[in-house]
Formats: sequence, structure tokens, C-alpha cells
Amino acid sequence: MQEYREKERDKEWLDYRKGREVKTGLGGRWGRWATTLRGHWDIFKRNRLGLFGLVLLIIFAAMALTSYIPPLIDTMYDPMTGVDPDILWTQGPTKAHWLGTDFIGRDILSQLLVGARIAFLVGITAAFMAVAIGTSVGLISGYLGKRVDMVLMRVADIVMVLPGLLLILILSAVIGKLSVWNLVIIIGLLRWASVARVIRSQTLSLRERPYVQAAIISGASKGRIIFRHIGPNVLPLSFLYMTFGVTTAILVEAALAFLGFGDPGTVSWGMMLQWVWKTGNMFRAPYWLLPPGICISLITLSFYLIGRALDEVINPRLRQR
Amino acid sequence: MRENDKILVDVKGLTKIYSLKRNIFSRSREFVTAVYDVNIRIKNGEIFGLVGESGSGKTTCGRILSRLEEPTGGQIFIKGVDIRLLKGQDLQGFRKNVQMIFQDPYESLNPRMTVADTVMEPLEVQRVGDYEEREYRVWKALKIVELYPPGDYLFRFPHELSGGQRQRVAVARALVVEPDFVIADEPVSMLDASIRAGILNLLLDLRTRLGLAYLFITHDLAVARYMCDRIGVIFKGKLVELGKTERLIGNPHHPYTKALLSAVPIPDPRAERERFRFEERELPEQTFDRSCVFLPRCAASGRICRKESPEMVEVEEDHYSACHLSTEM
Repeated sequence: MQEYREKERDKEWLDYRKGREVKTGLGGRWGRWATTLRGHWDIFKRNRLGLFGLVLLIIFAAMALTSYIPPLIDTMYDPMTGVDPDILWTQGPTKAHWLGTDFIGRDILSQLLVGARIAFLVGITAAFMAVAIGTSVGLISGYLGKRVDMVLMRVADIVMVLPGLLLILILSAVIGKLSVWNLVIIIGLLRWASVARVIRSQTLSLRERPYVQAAIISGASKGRIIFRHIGPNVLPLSFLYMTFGVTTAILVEAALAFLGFGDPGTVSWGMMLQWVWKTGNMFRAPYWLLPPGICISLITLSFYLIGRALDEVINPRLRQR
Repeated sequence: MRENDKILVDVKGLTKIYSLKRNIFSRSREFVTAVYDVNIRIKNGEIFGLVGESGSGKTTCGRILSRLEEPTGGQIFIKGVDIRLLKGQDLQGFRKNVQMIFQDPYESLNPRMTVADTVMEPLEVQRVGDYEEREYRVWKALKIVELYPPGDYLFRFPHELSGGQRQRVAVARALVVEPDFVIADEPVSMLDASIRAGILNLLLDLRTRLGLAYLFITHDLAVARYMCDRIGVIFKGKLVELGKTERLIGNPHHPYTKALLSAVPIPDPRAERERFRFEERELPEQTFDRSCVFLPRCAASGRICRKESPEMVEVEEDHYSACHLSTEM
């Protein structure tokens, strides 16, 4: 059609373009993204619980960041090696140690702050790994089907029946103490299978939708259909699994540390719990026991709440209008 | 226009047979014949209606013509090219020429994509112009389908639109690449009667403005009559009657077409139409070669109907019917 060449002379079009640029302050593609993002934030902030989760997360993030400060003030605040020379045994909160000290006089507050950092690292990276692998495998397996599906799903079956915690225990016995990063990789590689299963089944139903067929008729490639049409529609599930994944990764790390298989070179909340328990202070030093326990629960909660709120943002049908 | 007489789509002996998944316990494979030996020609700018009851294979025809499915047999020429053989670059070109409008506008738009994303997708995939150009085309397409002003609709999600508006978006997506041939698979059957006429008129208007040809699939004879230049009636995967709309509606030859026509209600409670009834028997296994497909339901079958499958016979000019008895009736 010749009409398309008349773009520069179409007054209505020029008016529309001008209006759009004024509204977003940006032109073209970026303007559109800016509008979309702003819209998403508007929806997110209406969800009270999601905001609460976000606030919690920000607090934990702030904790993780401030964990670098105490050791700079005084070397005795170093969570791992810093020892208060005046203190010989665990002690409740004082002016010098706001949350008290552990059995060799290390500051509990600075340990707690570092613990947040470790929880973030372990939780987010492990969950992200698991969800990224699981979602990709699920999408590809579900959309391509046939032999690819066959092979990928058998691999997933094998991974799924591996007893996770036991495997980690055996590995740590064979290799020696596992570093936090090894742990992250193992958790990621063990947890993707269930995500892949769920995403695959969702993909199987989505690939028959007319809008996918409309995309095929438009000439869209397999990759485009998988990642642009089906992908975004399974993302809420992925997000949900991400929140679960963060939760389990943190819990697995805590459990391992508590059982004494943690990385002895890092301070985590699980390690703190192990030290309380090992030194027999479980019921004698609540100032030592409670903070890491509460932190583990709250960080888990915050990820869950955020996941729910994001689900609402990504799934337009959940929105209330 | 002389060019309008050119044949755009030529379907020869189209057949689609689905083989059901084999049961582990039974040796035999079961087959379902969805479409059998269908021959259709569609000219440039023509609206060809394919009418039939549910399960008659009309949708399958549309899906094969848009290459969503592979035919089992037969040839399909669109602009003189056999579409079964298309690959790679040529297939992309085909995708630009042939577009489809789906039945359910609530399902045919991706719920996570804005109207702009949806309508722009074919342009992105086909690498038409730069972003600015594409946006202009999308804007223009929305204007053509009467979503006005387009700026108000561009960044909406499908759930923020009504059924009629969604179907308009679907139409915009189909035409933004300027196709020659659009397959409309029951485009109004999911819409309210009040919106229906709007969409139908839009489609008719587009035909005159852009010179589109349609394959218009519907179960509703009234809609087909309103829209189509020619109508093909399909029963159990086989074309039973084909002809110009007025002739086919005014003077049906095949008993199935007569039955269909007599089932269309007259909007007057006192008017009584002469009913053309057919036997409502369960349809047995399909026997395409050995007898007439309509035989189990036909009230007026003769001996020959049991022995031979009827060929399409020209009963009057440009009007074909596949019934042994249609010439006598």
C-alpha cells in the first residue's frame, strides 16, 4: 500500500507521536518500556503484603550491605576472627555488643549481618540457577516434543529421584568440606527438575493456544514463540518456584550448616545455630538463638510475599480493576 | 478489473487423514478422515465460504491452507506455488501473503502482550522497516479496523478490551503485513449478535479497500450468505455442493444443503418453513469410495447411492453438486 509512505504528511500520526513523547519523555521503543515499567510498579505498590515483603527484603539487603562496616570499626567485630579479649564466655547484649557475644567472644550482631549476605548469595543464586535451567528445559521440552522431550524428561526423572540432602552429605564427605559456592551449584543442579516438569506441562497446554498458532502464521521462529509467547506466560510459575527455591536453598544451607557440614570458613545463620547448639546454649542464650532463627523465617517470608505480588503484576488477569 | 479473475488459491484433491494413536493392545491402527478430496478455487478478491456442521473438516481445511497442518494428500497452489514444498525464505514470504483470523478473540491474543506488541509482531518477524515505520503501520492498521483513536488502544492489554475490540485487533494483526489471502475461521461465532455485523462489515469493507480474498469458514448459512461470493458446503470432510451464493441458497441441489437451509430460522414466529428432514442416524464408518457420504442420513437415496460415490457434477452454470439424484430432483 502506498499509504505508508505518507507518514510525514499524516497530521494525526504526527500529533499522536508528539503526544506520546511528551507523556513519557522518551521516544520509540524505550518510551514504551518506560510506560510499561511504570505501570507495573503502580500495580505492585497496591499490594500491601507485597510491599511488606519488599520492605523486609530491603531491610535484609541493608543488613547485608552494612555487614562490611563493623570489622572496619574495630577488628574485634570481625564475625569470624574478631574476639573481644575481655569476654571469655557467651554474654548477653551490652553497649559494646548490641546482641551479645558467642562462646569465644565474637560479636553476634556482626555475625548476623554477614549471615544476611550469605543467605542472599546462596538463596538467590541457587534458586535462580535452578529456575533458569528448569524453565528453559521445560519450555524446550514441552514445545519441541518428540525425542527432545523424551531425553530431557528422562534426565529430569533421574535428577528428581536423587536424594538431595543425602547426596550433599556424601559429596561433602568425599570431597571434604564444601564451599558455599559448591553448595549453590549443587542445589541448583538438584532442584531444576521439578521446575522443568511443571513448566513443561504448562507449555504443553499453551502451545495449542490460538495465539501461538497466530504467531506461527505470522512467521515467528520456534525460539521466538518459546521465549516470547510461551515464556512470559509461564513466568509466574517460574517466579513462584523461584521464591520456593530461594526458601529451600536458604533452608538447605542452614540445615547443612547446623548439621556441621557447612563451610567452616563462612559465617551463616545456620552456622550460628550450630554453634549455639554445640556449645549447649540452646536454651540458655535466647539472644544468640533467636536472631538467626527469626532472620531465616523472615527472609523466607519476604521472598514468598514478593513472589505473590509479582505474580499479580505479570498475570494481568489476577489484577483487580 | 481484469486481474480479479485470476485464480489466487487452487486446491486440488486435498485430503487429510489423522491416524489415532495406536493402542498397545490392538494391532490395527485407526484412521479418521477429516478432509477428503476437496477441490476449491478462489479468485483474487473473492470471498469463498466454507459451510458445514461441526466436525465436518472445514476448520481443518483452513489450518492446512495456512500451513498449520500438513495435508495427507493433494496439492495446494497459492499464487501458483505449491505451498507444501515451501521452506525457509519462501515460507516466510508465504506467511506474509496468507494470514488467519481465529474464532475466539479471547484466546487468539496473547494476554501478556499489548495491542501494539501483538500487531507489530508480524512486522518484526518479517523484518519490515525500522521501528518507526512499524509503529506507523500498526497505528494505521488500528485505524483501518476502526479502533479510533489508535493511540488509546496501542498500549492496552487484551483483557482491557471487549470481545469485538479484540477481534478487531486480531483483524489488524492479520492485515498489517498486507496479505492477499485471509483465512477467517468462524470470525464472528464467538461474538454477540450486536457486534457481529460490525466485524462482518469491516471484513467486507477491507475486501473492497485492500482487494483481499477470504476463505470464510462458518457454520452459519445466514452469515455465509451475507458475506460470500461463492459457497462450498462440506459434509464429513467431503465437498457436497459448490456454487454462487444466490444460486446455492436459492436453488440448492444437494439434500444436505436443503436440510441446512431449512434449519435456518425465520425471524417471524408465525411463519412456518417447509422442513426438509433427514434421517438422524448414527454415522457408520466412513466409506468414501464405496458409497455416498450422505447416504446414512439421506431420505431419498436410490440404489446407485450405495454403490458409487457421487462426483461433483455441474448442475447449472458454476454450480456443482455431488449427488446422484440431484439432476433428477
